[in-house]
Amino acid sequence: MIKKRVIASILVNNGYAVQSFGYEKYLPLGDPKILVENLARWKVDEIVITDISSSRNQSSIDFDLISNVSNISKGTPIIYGGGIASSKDASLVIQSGADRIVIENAFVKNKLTPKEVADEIGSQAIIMSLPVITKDNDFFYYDYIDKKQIEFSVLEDLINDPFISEFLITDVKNEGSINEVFNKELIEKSFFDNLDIICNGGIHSTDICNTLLNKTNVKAIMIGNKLNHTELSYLNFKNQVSTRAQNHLRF
Amino acid sequence: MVCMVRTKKTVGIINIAGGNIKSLYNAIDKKYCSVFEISDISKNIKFDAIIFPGVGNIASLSKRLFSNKNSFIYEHIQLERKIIGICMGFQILSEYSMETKPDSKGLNLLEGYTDKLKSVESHIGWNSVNFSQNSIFAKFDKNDFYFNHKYKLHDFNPNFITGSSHINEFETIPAVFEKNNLIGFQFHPEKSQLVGNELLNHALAS
Repeated sequence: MIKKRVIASILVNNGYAVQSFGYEKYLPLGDPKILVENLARWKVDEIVITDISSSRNQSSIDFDLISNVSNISKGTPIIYGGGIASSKDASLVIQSGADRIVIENAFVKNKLTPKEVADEIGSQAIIMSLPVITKDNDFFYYDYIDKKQIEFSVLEDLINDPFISEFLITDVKNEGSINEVFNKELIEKSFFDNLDIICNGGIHSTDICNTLLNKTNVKAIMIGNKLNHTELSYLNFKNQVSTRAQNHLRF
Repeated sequence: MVCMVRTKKTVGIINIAGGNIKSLYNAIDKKYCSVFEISDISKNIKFDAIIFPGVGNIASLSKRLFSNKNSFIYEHIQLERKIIGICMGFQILSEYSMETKPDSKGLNLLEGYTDKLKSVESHIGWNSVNFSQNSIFAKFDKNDFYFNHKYKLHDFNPNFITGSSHINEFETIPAVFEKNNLIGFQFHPEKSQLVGNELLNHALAS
């Protein structure tokens, strides 16, 4: 049976790996290559590299970064997100050594369609990022660049697009939080019932991991800060979740 | 004293569809293989093995494959040299793919065609592969490998399927094809960490 994945997340800002606190404040962690080297040694299921400087400043993609991490990933699949604005960008990111890509802004702003990207790199390689924010007991897509919330109904066509293989749902409020955890109600929204989901943001307690890993539409959970500070954190993490959740994982 | 010099195998990675060949290049053991990128299939170059890598769009690969003179590939087959197809590179070895309309032509080196998975939209992540005892990869039985695909081989000859994977209780897919010098993997050995690298190098060495 297909295993659910525990994905390690590395945020990169101007060439440095950083710890994010709600995508507002960043603590530098150092060279992203060192983190990739450790995570690959611990045999994480996949590694996501998100270059926030490329996506926010809409600056050029750091292809050397992708190439360098790919060279030391020891066969660990690499997913890249940040600043991909055209199908040519997507193709160059893949050629630089990424195995899959994450796109958000270019799809939401209609600069690019999933089909255009799929024609270059195949739809199995396309993940769409969906930051989600709660307000008055309702859920909205959160546009980080324009700092505004958008009704999900506006994105209905994208959410049903057959050329997107998985959706990366980030809990904006709890991303980077030490005390609060991922709001599981986000993925219980009927809107997401038939999607293959990767959960991100505030996933640091075993309780929330157990809950998410047992949900049918959750195919992977993504963890950032928690994995970067202790040796063998990834293996320890897998050993700490419940037996039922472990049955879904690769050891 | 006679000194035996072991010559390296030459391996060509077909790169005409803009995929990620870096992982594949990194996975091959350079102690035993010299690896080359083949971006022009009209050139007549001889390799011990050629690999069709697995990231990209099959229509684009098929178009580029058949709009160029590709006799070197058929000559490679006639010389009974090794061909390894990975994921989409495995699917292009079949008769045709229904991933696009009109169907994309395959190399027709193995029976069957490529169409959608039946029970799920996509099969992404790590899954164990059950190898048959007569497979050259039998020692890798029940190891986990990394899959990333939406299409699979249909109407295949089961005699040559030597590895399979259960996506769920409803669907089992052909994961490994072996027939003489032709090997196909539906998963990505080059993205399957140490065990994947070992399997890939075993395929090249065998």
